[in-house]
Amino acid sequence: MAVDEALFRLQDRRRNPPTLRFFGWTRRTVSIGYFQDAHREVNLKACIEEGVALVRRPTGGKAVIHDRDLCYSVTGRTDLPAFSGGLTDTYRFIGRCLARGLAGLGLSVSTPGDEGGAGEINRDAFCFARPSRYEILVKGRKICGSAQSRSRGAFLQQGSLLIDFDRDLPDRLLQRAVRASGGRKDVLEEQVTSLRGEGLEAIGREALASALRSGFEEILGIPLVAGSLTGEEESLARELREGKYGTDVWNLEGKGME
Amino acid sequence: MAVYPEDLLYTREHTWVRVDGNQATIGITDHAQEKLGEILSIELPVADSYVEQDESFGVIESTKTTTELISPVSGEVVVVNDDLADDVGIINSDPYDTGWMIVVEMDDPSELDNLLDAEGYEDFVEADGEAD
Repeated sequence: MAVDEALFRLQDRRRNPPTLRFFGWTRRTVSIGYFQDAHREVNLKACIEEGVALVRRPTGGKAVIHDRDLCYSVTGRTDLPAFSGGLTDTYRFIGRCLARGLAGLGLSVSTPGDEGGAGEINRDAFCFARPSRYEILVKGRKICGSAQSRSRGAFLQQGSLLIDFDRDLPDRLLQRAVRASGGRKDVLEEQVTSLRGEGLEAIGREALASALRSGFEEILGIPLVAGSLTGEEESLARELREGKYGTDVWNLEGKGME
Repeated sequence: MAVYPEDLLYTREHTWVRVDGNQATIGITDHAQEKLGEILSIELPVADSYVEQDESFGVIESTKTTTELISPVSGEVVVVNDDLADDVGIINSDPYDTGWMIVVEMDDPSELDNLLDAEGYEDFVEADGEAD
Protein backbone atom coordinates (compact mmCIF):
# COMPACT_ATOMS: atom_id res chain seq x y z
CA MET A 1 0.00 0.00 0.00
CA ALA A 2 2.85 2.36 0.86
CA VAL A 3 4.56 1.70 -2.47
CA ASP A 4 1.31 2.20 -4.39
CA GLU A 5 0.63 5.49 -2.65
CA ALA A 6 4.21 6.65 -3.26
CA LEU A 7 3.85 5.87 -6.98
CA PHE A 8 0.51 7.73 -6.98
CA ARG A 9 1.82 10.79 -5.10
CA LEU A 10 4.78 11.14 -7.43
CA GLN A 11 2.47 10.87 -10.45
CA ASP A 12 0.60 13.69 -8.84
CA ARG A 13 3.80 15.72 -8.86
CA ARG A 14 4.65 14.58 -12.42
CA ARG A 15 7.85 12.91 -11.28
CA ASN A 16 7.56 9.40 -12.69
CA PRO A 17 6.15 7.52 -15.70
CA PRO A 18 2.87 5.55 -15.61
CA THR A 19 3.50 2.34 -13.75
CA LEU A 20 1.98 -1.14 -13.75
CA ARG A 21 2.92 -3.03 -10.61
CA PHE A 22 2.20 -6.58 -9.47
CA PHE A 23 2.55 -7.71 -5.89
CA GLY A 24 1.57 -10.38 -3.39
CA TRP A 25 1.51 -10.66 0.38
CA THR A 26 3.96 -12.29 2.76
CA ARG A 27 1.07 -13.36 4.98
CA ARG A 28 -2.71 -13.54 4.75
CA THR A 29 -4.10 -9.99 4.94
CA VAL A 30 -7.48 -8.27 4.96
CA SER A 31 -7.46 -4.91 3.17
CA ILE A 32 -10.31 -2.50 3.76
CA GLY A 33 -11.43 0.50 1.74
CA TYR A 34 -10.46 4.05 2.65
CA PHE A 35 -13.78 4.82 4.27
CA GLN A 36 -14.61 1.47 5.85
CA ASP A 37 -15.04 0.98 9.59
CA ALA A 38 -12.53 -1.72 10.55
CA HIS A 39 -14.29 -2.59 13.82
CA ARG A 40 -17.65 -2.97 12.13
CA GLU A 41 -16.59 -4.94 9.12
CA VAL A 42 -13.63 -7.09 10.10
CA ASN A 43 -13.51 -9.76 12.80
CA LEU A 44 -10.40 -8.28 14.39
CA LYS A 45 -10.25 -10.90 17.13
CA ALA A 46 -10.19 -13.73 14.60
CA CYS A 47 -7.56 -11.89 12.54
CA ILE A 48 -5.30 -11.59 15.58
CA GLU A 49 -5.85 -15.24 16.54
CA GLU A 50 -5.08 -16.45 13.01
CA GLY A 51 -2.15 -14.07 12.45
CA VAL A 52 -3.97 -12.25 9.66
CA ALA A 53 -2.76 -8.70 8.98
CA LEU A 54 -5.04 -5.73 8.37
CA VAL A 55 -4.34 -2.74 6.17
CA ARG A 56 -6.46 0.21 5.06
CA ARG A 57 -6.09 1.03 1.37
CA PRO A 58 -5.66 4.48 -0.16
CA THR A 59 -8.47 3.51 -2.55
CA GLY A 60 -12.14 3.07 -1.73
CA GLY A 61 -14.29 -0.01 -2.05
CA LYS A 62 -14.91 -3.00 0.16
CA ALA A 63 -12.97 -5.52 2.24
CA VAL A 64 -10.69 -7.90 0.32
CA ILE A 65 -9.12 -11.03 1.79
CA HIS A 66 -5.67 -11.44 0.29
CA ASP A 67 -4.85 -15.10 0.47
CA ARG A 68 -4.00 -16.75 -2.82
CA ASP A 69 -4.37 -13.70 -5.03
CA LEU A 70 -2.23 -11.48 -7.21
CA CYS A 71 -2.60 -7.75 -6.73
CA TYR A 72 -2.00 -5.19 -9.43
CA SER A 73 -1.82 -1.44 -9.40
CA VAL A 74 -1.78 1.07 -12.23
CA THR A 75 -0.68 4.63 -11.60
CA GLY A 76 -0.77 7.32 -14.24
CA ARG A 77 -1.95 10.73 -15.23
CA THR A 78 -5.27 11.49 -16.85
CA ASP A 79 -3.61 13.65 -19.51
CA LEU A 80 -2.08 10.52 -21.06
CA PRO A 81 -4.11 9.37 -24.09
CA ALA A 82 -4.76 5.88 -22.68
CA PHE A 83 -6.28 7.26 -19.48
CA SER A 84 -7.84 10.53 -20.64
CA GLY A 85 -11.41 9.32 -21.08
CA GLY A 86 -12.65 9.78 -17.51
CA LEU A 87 -13.28 7.46 -14.60
CA THR A 88 -15.40 4.83 -16.25
CA ASP A 89 -13.24 4.79 -19.36
CA THR A 90 -10.15 4.24 -17.24
CA TYR A 91 -11.79 1.30 -15.45
CA ARG A 92 -12.93 -0.05 -18.79
CA PHE A 93 -9.52 0.41 -20.40
CA ILE A 94 -7.61 -1.31 -17.59
CA GLY A 95 -10.33 -3.97 -17.54
CA ARG A 96 -9.69 -4.64 -21.24
CA CYS A 97 -5.96 -5.05 -20.57
CA LEU A 98 -6.61 -7.46 -17.70
CA ALA A 99 -9.21 -9.34 -19.72
CA ARG A 100 -6.79 -9.70 -22.62
CA GLY A 101 -4.19 -11.09 -20.25
CA LEU A 102 -6.64 -13.60 -18.76
CA ALA A 103 -7.83 -14.56 -22.24
CA GLY A 104 -4.18 -15.39 -22.97
CA LEU A 105 -4.46 -18.06 -20.29
CA GLY A 106 -7.47 -19.51 -22.06
CA LEU A 107 -10.23 -17.95 -19.97
CA SER A 108 -13.41 -16.59 -21.48
CA VAL A 109 -13.74 -13.16 -19.91
CA SER A 110 -16.41 -10.47 -19.92
CA THR A 111 -17.46 -7.44 -17.88
CA PRO A 112 -20.98 -6.56 -16.64
CA GLY A 113 -20.90 -3.70 -19.13
CA ASP A 114 -20.30 -6.16 -21.98
CA GLU A 115 -23.34 -8.13 -20.99
CA GLY A 116 -25.54 -5.08 -20.85
CA GLY A 117 -26.70 -5.89 -17.34
CA ALA A 118 -25.41 -5.59 -13.80
CA GLY A 119 -23.32 -2.47 -13.42
CA GLU A 120 -25.22 -1.98 -10.20
CA ILE A 121 -23.73 -0.54 -7.08
CA ASN A 122 -22.10 -3.03 -4.78
CA ARG A 123 -23.51 -2.14 -1.38
CA ASP A 124 -22.15 -5.27 0.25
CA ALA A 125 -19.19 -4.88 2.51
CA PHE A 126 -17.26 -7.73 0.91
CA CYS A 127 -15.63 -6.82 -2.36
CA PHE A 128 -16.24 -10.04 -4.23
CA ALA A 129 -19.87 -10.34 -3.16
CA ARG A 130 -21.21 -8.78 -6.31
CA PRO A 131 -19.75 -7.51 -9.57
CA SER A 132 -19.86 -3.75 -10.01
CA ARG A 133 -19.26 -1.72 -13.13
CA TYR A 134 -16.58 -3.00 -15.48
CA GLU A 135 -15.35 -5.70 -13.16
CA ILE A 136 -13.96 -8.74 -14.90
CA LEU A 137 -16.18 -11.79 -14.99
CA VAL A 138 -15.51 -15.35 -16.04
CA LYS A 139 -18.76 -17.08 -17.04
CA GLY A 140 -20.63 -14.41 -15.10
CA ARG A 141 -18.61 -14.86 -11.90
CA LYS A 142 -16.24 -12.32 -10.43
CA ILE A 143 -12.51 -13.09 -10.53
CA CYS A 144 -11.10 -9.61 -9.96
CA GLY A 145 -12.05 -6.66 -7.74
CA SER A 146 -10.73 -3.14 -8.37
CA ALA A 147 -10.88 0.31 -6.80
CA GLN A 148 -9.54 3.69 -7.78
CA SER A 149 -8.31 6.89 -6.21
CA ARG A 150 -7.79 10.24 -7.94
CA SER A 151 -6.04 13.46 -7.13
CA ARG A 152 -5.01 16.42 -9.26
CA GLY A 153 -4.89 14.67 -12.59
CA ALA A 154 -3.29 11.50 -11.25
CA PHE A 155 -4.95 8.18 -10.54
CA LEU A 156 -4.21 4.93 -8.75
CA GLN A 157 -6.20 1.81 -9.58
CA GLN A 158 -5.63 -1.24 -7.38
CA GLY A 159 -7.08 -4.68 -7.82
CA SER A 160 -6.93 -8.28 -6.70
CA LEU A 161 -7.14 -11.30 -9.01
CA LEU A 162 -8.04 -14.60 -7.42
CA ILE A 163 -5.69 -17.49 -8.03
CA ASP A 164 -7.62 -19.62 -5.56
CA PHE A 165 -10.47 -18.75 -3.23
CA ASP A 166 -11.23 -20.24 0.15
CA ARG A 167 -14.95 -19.69 0.68
CA ASP A 168 -14.63 -20.26 4.43
CA LEU A 169 -12.45 -17.19 4.94
CA PRO A 170 -15.15 -14.46 4.82
CA ASP A 171 -17.07 -16.43 7.48
CA ARG A 172 -14.07 -16.44 9.75
CA LEU A 173 -12.47 -13.06 9.10
CA LEU A 174 -15.34 -10.69 8.41
CA GLN A 175 -18.10 -9.60 10.76
CA ARG A 176 -21.44 -11.36 10.99
CA ALA A 177 -23.38 -8.49 9.41
CA VAL A 178 -20.98 -8.43 6.51
CA ARG A 179 -21.22 -12.16 5.99
CA ALA A 180 -24.99 -11.99 6.12
CA SER A 181 -25.15 -9.30 3.46
CA GLY A 182 -22.84 -10.73 0.89
CA GLY A 183 -20.15 -13.03 2.16
CA ARG A 184 -22.35 -16.12 2.61
CA LYS A 185 -20.78 -19.25 1.28
CA ASP A 186 -23.66 -20.21 -0.97
CA VAL A 187 -23.77 -16.70 -2.46
CA LEU A 188 -20.03 -16.70 -3.01
CA GLU A 189 -20.24 -20.12 -4.63
CA GLU A 190 -22.43 -18.61 -7.33
CA GLN A 191 -20.69 -15.26 -7.70
CA VAL A 192 -16.96 -15.76 -7.29
CA THR A 193 -14.44 -17.83 -9.20
CA SER A 194 -10.67 -18.11 -9.38
CA LEU A 195 -8.03 -19.45 -11.74
CA ARG A 196 -8.11 -22.72 -9.84
CA GLY A 197 -11.91 -22.74 -9.99
CA GLU A 198 -11.62 -22.47 -13.76
CA GLY A 199 -9.25 -25.42 -13.95
CA LEU A 200 -6.00 -23.43 -14.18
CA GLU A 201 -4.39 -25.14 -11.22
CA ALA A 202 -0.79 -24.73 -12.30
CA ILE A 203 -0.85 -20.94 -12.72
CA GLY A 204 0.91 -19.09 -9.90
CA ARG A 205 1.51 -15.40 -9.27
CA GLU A 206 4.46 -15.04 -11.65
CA ALA A 207 2.75 -16.74 -14.57
CA LEU A 208 -0.40 -14.70 -13.99
CA ALA A 209 1.57 -11.45 -13.77
CA SER A 210 3.37 -12.31 -16.97
CA ALA A 211 0.08 -13.01 -18.78
CA LEU A 212 -1.43 -9.75 -17.50
CA ARG A 213 1.62 -7.77 -18.53
CA SER A 214 1.21 -9.18 -22.06
CA GLY A 215 -2.44 -8.09 -21.95
CA PHE A 216 -1.42 -4.51 -21.20
CA GLU A 217 1.26 -4.57 -23.90
CA GLU A 218 -1.19 -5.86 -26.51
CA ILE A 219 -3.93 -3.35 -25.72
CA LEU A 220 -1.52 -0.41 -25.33
CA GLY A 221 0.41 -1.49 -28.43
CA ILE A 222 3.76 -0.83 -26.73
CA PRO A 223 6.29 -2.95 -24.87
CA LEU A 224 6.45 -2.26 -21.14
CA VAL A 225 9.87 -1.67 -19.62
CA ALA A 226 10.60 -3.53 -16.38
CA GLY A 227 11.95 -1.28 -13.67
CA SER A 228 12.48 -0.93 -9.97
CA LEU A 229 11.53 1.85 -7.59
CA THR A 230 13.48 5.10 -7.88
CA GLY A 231 15.23 6.46 -4.82
CA GLU A 232 12.49 9.05 -4.44
CA GLU A 233 9.75 6.40 -4.67
CA GLU A 234 11.51 4.18 -2.15
CA SER A 235 12.06 7.02 0.25
CA LEU A 236 8.42 8.18 0.10
CA ALA A 237 7.20 4.56 0.42
CA ARG A 238 9.33 4.12 3.55
CA GLU A 239 7.91 7.32 5.00
CA LEU A 240 4.35 6.15 4.26
CA ARG A 241 4.99 2.69 5.66
CA GLU A 242 6.38 4.05 8.92
CA GLY A 243 3.95 6.93 9.37
CA LYS A 244 0.75 5.48 7.91
CA TYR A 245 0.31 1.94 6.63
CA GLY A 246 2.31 0.37 9.43
CA THR A 247 0.25 2.06 12.13
CA ASP A 248 -2.96 1.03 13.91
CA VAL A 249 -4.16 4.61 13.94
CA TRP A 250 -4.41 4.52 10.13
CA ASN A 251 -5.39 0.89 9.63
CA LEU A 252 -7.99 0.71 12.40
CA GLU A 253 -9.17 4.29 12.73
CA GLY A 254 -8.42 5.78 9.31
CA LYS A 255 -6.39 8.62 10.72
CA GLY A 256 -2.79 9.34 9.91
CA MET A 257 -0.21 11.43 8.16
CA GLU A 258 -1.17 13.56 5.20
CA MET B 1 -26.26 18.63 -18.98
CA ALA B 2 -24.15 20.14 -16.20
CA VAL B 3 -24.82 23.74 -15.15
CA TYR B 4 -22.35 26.38 -14.00
CA PRO B 5 -23.86 29.33 -12.07
CA GLU B 6 -22.37 32.65 -13.13
CA ASP B 7 -21.99 34.01 -9.60
CA LEU B 8 -19.38 31.36 -8.69
CA LEU B 9 -15.68 30.95 -9.41
CA TYR B 10 -14.25 27.57 -10.39
CA THR B 11 -11.02 25.56 -10.30
CA ARG B 12 -9.59 23.13 -12.82
CA GLU B 13 -9.94 20.55 -10.03
CA HIS B 14 -13.74 20.89 -10.28
CA THR B 15 -14.42 22.78 -7.06
CA TRP B 16 -16.42 26.01 -6.87
CA VAL B 17 -16.23 29.06 -4.62
CA ARG B 18 -18.98 31.47 -3.59
CA VAL B 19 -17.36 34.64 -2.25
CA ASP B 20 -19.03 36.74 0.45
CA GLY B 21 -16.69 39.41 1.78
CA ASN B 22 -13.63 37.59 3.03
CA GLN B 23 -15.38 34.25 3.30
CA ALA B 24 -15.39 31.56 0.62
CA THR B 25 -17.97 28.78 0.54
CA ILE B 26 -16.60 25.73 -1.29
CA GLY B 27 -18.18 22.72 -2.97
CA ILE B 28 -17.77 20.52 -6.05
CA THR B 29 -19.29 21.30 -9.42
CA ASP B 30 -22.27 19.72 -11.11
CA HIS B 31 -19.86 18.34 -13.70
CA ALA B 32 -17.76 16.73 -10.96
CA GLN B 33 -20.72 15.08 -9.22
CA GLU B 34 -21.95 13.74 -12.56
CA LYS B 35 -18.53 12.23 -13.28
CA LEU B 36 -18.14 10.75 -9.81
CA GLY B 37 -21.49 8.99 -9.83
CA GLU B 38 -23.38 8.30 -6.62
CA ILE B 39 -21.46 9.80 -3.70
CA LEU B 40 -21.19 7.44 -0.72
CA SER B 41 -18.92 9.11 1.87
CA ILE B 42 -16.99 12.28 2.52
CA GLU B 43 -14.15 13.28 4.82
CA LEU B 44 -13.87 17.02 5.52
CA PRO B 45 -11.57 19.07 7.74
CA VAL B 46 -12.80 20.21 11.14
CA ALA B 47 -13.57 23.85 11.96
CA ASP B 48 -10.50 25.91 12.92
CA SER B 49 -8.17 23.79 10.75
CA TYR B 50 -6.23 25.38 7.91
CA VAL B 51 -6.51 24.68 4.19
CA GLU B 52 -4.17 25.78 1.43
CA GLN B 53 -4.87 26.69 -2.17
CA ASP B 54 -4.20 23.75 -4.52
CA GLU B 55 -3.83 21.34 -1.60
CA SER B 56 -6.20 18.58 -0.52
CA PHE B 57 -8.85 19.50 2.05
CA GLY B 58 -10.74 16.22 2.07
CA VAL B 59 -11.65 13.03 0.28
CA ILE B 60 -14.90 12.02 -1.37
CA GLU B 61 -15.89 8.44 -2.16
CA SER B 62 -18.26 7.62 -4.96
CA THR B 63 -19.29 4.37 -6.56
CA LYS B 64 -16.35 4.74 -8.92
CA THR B 65 -13.45 6.14 -6.92
CA THR B 66 -12.09 8.04 -3.96
CA THR B 67 -11.07 11.53 -5.01
CA GLU B 68 -9.14 14.21 -3.17
CA LEU B 69 -10.87 17.56 -2.86
CA ILE B 70 -8.53 20.40 -3.79
CA SER B 71 -8.97 23.75 -2.11
CA PRO B 72 -9.46 26.81 -4.32
CA VAL B 73 -8.20 29.21 -1.61
CA SER B 74 -6.06 29.30 1.55
CA GLY B 75 -7.39 30.10 4.98
CA GLU B 76 -9.03 28.89 8.15
CA VAL B 77 -12.07 26.63 7.98
CA VAL B 78 -14.82 28.46 9.88
CA VAL B 79 -17.85 26.27 9.12
CA VAL B 80 -18.27 22.67 7.95
CA ASN B 81 -21.54 21.45 6.43
CA ASP B 82 -22.68 18.94 9.07
CA ASP B 83 -25.74 18.04 6.99
CA LEU B 84 -23.45 16.02 4.72
CA ALA B 85 -22.80 13.59 7.57
CA ASP B 86 -26.53 12.75 7.56
CA ASP B 87 -27.05 12.68 3.80
CA VAL B 88 -24.01 12.93 1.55
CA GLY B 89 -26.32 12.41 -1.43
CA ILE B 90 -27.23 16.12 -1.42
CA ILE B 91 -23.90 16.73 -3.15
CA ASN B 92 -25.35 14.81 -6.10
CA SER B 93 -28.79 16.37 -5.94
CA ASP B 94 -27.87 19.97 -5.08
CA PRO B 95 -24.12 20.57 -5.55
CA TYR B 96 -24.23 24.38 -5.55
CA ASP B 97 -26.60 25.02 -2.68
CA THR B 98 -27.30 22.58 0.18
CA GLY B 99 -24.41 20.38 -1.02
CA TRP B 100 -21.74 22.96 -0.05
CA MET B 101 -18.83 21.56 1.98
CA ILE B 102 -16.86 24.16 3.95
CA VAL B 103 -16.58 27.92 4.50
CA VAL B 104 -13.05 29.34 4.61
CA GLU B 105 -11.93 32.70 5.99
CA MET B 106 -9.55 33.66 3.20
CA ASP B 107 -5.93 34.63 3.93
CA ASP B 108 -5.37 36.25 0.60
CA PRO B 109 -8.36 37.12 -1.60
CA SER B 110 -5.98 37.81 -4.50
CA GLU B 111 -5.78 33.99 -4.83
CA LEU B 112 -9.22 34.28 -6.43
CA ASP B 113 -7.46 35.74 -9.49
CA ASN B 114 -6.16 32.22 -10.22
CA LEU B 115 -9.71 30.84 -10.59
CA LEU B 116 -12.00 30.55 -13.61
CA ASP B 117 -15.35 32.24 -14.19
CA ALA B 118 -18.33 30.13 -15.32
CA GLU B 119 -17.55 30.56 -19.01
CA GLY B 120 -13.86 29.75 -18.48
CA TYR B 121 -14.75 26.63 -16.49
CA GLU B 122 -17.25 25.47 -19.09
CA ASP B 123 -14.59 25.90 -21.79
CA PHE B 124 -12.13 24.00 -19.62
CA VAL B 125 -14.56 21.12 -19.14
CA GLU B 126 -15.25 20.95 -22.88
CA ALA B 127 -11.53 21.09 -23.74
CA ASP B 128 -10.75 18.53 -21.05
CA GLY B 129 -13.18 16.28 -22.91
CA GLU B 130 -13.82 13.76 -20.17
CA ALA B 131 -16.17 11.45 -21.92
CA ASP B 132 -18.10 9.91 -19.06
